Amino acid sequence: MTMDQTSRDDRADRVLVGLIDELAGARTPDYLEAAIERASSRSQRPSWTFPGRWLPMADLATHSAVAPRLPWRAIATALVILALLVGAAAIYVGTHQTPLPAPFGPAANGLIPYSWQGDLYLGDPVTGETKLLLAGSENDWGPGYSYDGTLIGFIRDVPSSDGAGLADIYVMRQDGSDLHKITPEPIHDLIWAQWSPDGRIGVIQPTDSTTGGSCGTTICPQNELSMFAATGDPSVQHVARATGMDYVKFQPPDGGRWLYRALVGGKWGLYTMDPAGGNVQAIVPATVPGMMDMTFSGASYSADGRQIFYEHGDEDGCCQLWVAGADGSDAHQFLPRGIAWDGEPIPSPDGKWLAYWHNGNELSSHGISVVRADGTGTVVDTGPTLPGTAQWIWAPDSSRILMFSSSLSGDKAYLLDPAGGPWTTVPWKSDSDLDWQRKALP
Amino acid sequence: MDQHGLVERARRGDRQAFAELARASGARLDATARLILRDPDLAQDAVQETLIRAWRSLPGLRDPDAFDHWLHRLVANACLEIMRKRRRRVVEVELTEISEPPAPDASGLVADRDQLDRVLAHLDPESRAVVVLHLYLDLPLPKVADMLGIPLGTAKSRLHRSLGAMRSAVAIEGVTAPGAAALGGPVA
Repeated sequence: MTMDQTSRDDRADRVLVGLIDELAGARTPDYLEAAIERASSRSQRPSWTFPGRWLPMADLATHSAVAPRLPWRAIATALVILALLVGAAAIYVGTHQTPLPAPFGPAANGLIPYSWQGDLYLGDPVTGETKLLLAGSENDWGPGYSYDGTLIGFIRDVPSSDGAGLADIYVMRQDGSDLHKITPEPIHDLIWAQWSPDGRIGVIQPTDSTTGGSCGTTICPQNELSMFAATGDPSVQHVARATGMDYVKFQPPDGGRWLYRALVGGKWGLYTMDPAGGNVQAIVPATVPGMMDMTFSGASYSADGRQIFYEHGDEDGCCQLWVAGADGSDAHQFLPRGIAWDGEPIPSPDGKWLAYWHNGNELSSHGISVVRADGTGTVVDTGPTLPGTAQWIWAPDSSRILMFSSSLSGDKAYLLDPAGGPWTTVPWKSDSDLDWQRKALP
Repeated sequence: MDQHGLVERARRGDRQAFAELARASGARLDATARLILRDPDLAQDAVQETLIRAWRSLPGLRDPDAFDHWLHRLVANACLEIMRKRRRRVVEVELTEISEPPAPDASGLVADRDQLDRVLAHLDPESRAVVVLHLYLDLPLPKVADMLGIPLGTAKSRLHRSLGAMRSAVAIEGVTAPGAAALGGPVA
């Protein structure tokens, strides 16, 4: 190409840019406000997190049947044989069955399930190796291990012509086998989903699919918590309904109480209920104005289940870290009040530390801070400060914090030292929330 | 509040913040969709779909400063999705007469714009998306390739072919383009 030709092309291209701008004729379209209203009336992408697990216990029922007139000698012989068989089975199980982790508390570190662009992967944080777990044309995301670390649940978007947010929940073994759907019908506007300590998966969705599930500026829909069997059994337990309820946390060590937030009379409160949805108890009565919708949005039980950490908004804004007893007693501010926004408190599995999202200045840097779970000692800032936000989770052995902080063009995941030491990276990223497989301690 | 703060609020479920962001981007989204789709009704569908996806997926947007690029990717992909669906229907039920593009008319700006319009109409939607993202939204070509999920080489060849057709369609002698901006921003 000659210089003359290049010059002509450059001139033509400048003309083209101007002409395209003219053609575009950018102006605010008449339909915009209606489009905004329609879009934001739906729920946002739900969170899907797995902060703790335990071994699901199958109900065992014993049935006795008395055989009439059997000779005692035959019975004795049968019992001896049975005892031998039971003993052999016990020895076999004891030597061959993979031990499973305790429900809560410290555990060994396993693999990290994650999703990227509609496919599911398992990553090894030690070697950095990744393995494709499930790929296909479907949009799968949000994989999380069951409490015993043997099953993986995930969300699959269901295409719909009207843009409605539909999703199904699937479960499979960690080798990808036994893939099955556990939701009999697609979930409308899924707000939250999580493994429960009894081996089911809890789902929160709005009771009215036309309103969307998240609280807006003028409307906060009634949401329902339902429990689905991981086996695919179509029976569903509808546990509770509450306005604004958008998560549930399970109390260690046995999931005896379930923690959630709700909007009552236009104000936010923090509550617990039993697994049947009854015996509701106010941890923090409904006192925070509904517009302050970050308040109580990231409450957590302490590792021993005796306390509840939460972010509390007040007339000065949102949010500061607070702590109360598991029954709501002795509520008080956890850290001295500062100018920072502190929230999303997550205790380490060993119960020694509390990590939380620390935002010193909303328009500058954000990051993770760690403090002793009893609030004493100094606060340690760990990991890089970030321009945006992040997702993060404790390692089951409490030795590290895994944090995904990525722009769309792709940073990596960080493994942070809770003590504030140097951090490393692992070579993958996720587009949904995080989980870390718990394994039995050696 | 600046865009960063609005995105932070919107990704935490603040509908007012999202509405402000959408209002600030609405004209550009609509124009982008109209340029790619060549149909105002389809453009409206694309913008609606873009806003729904944006709202629903905002919690997963971890870098608020990437909001504009992210939104542009959403609208481009919504447009291409609509075109693919529509193309399937057209193949099934409709035969479209293809006319020869008129000869270039050097009588003035309006004529050039009309010519360009016709050339754009005859580009395939994928090429049109590359042209619109690069020339209208002024995005570097690697970013365009990334947004559309195509190799950089493919984006370059689509742009090259499209530019050739468009350059030959407009008269450049003596024409001063309104608000013409420099073309060929950072490519790498």
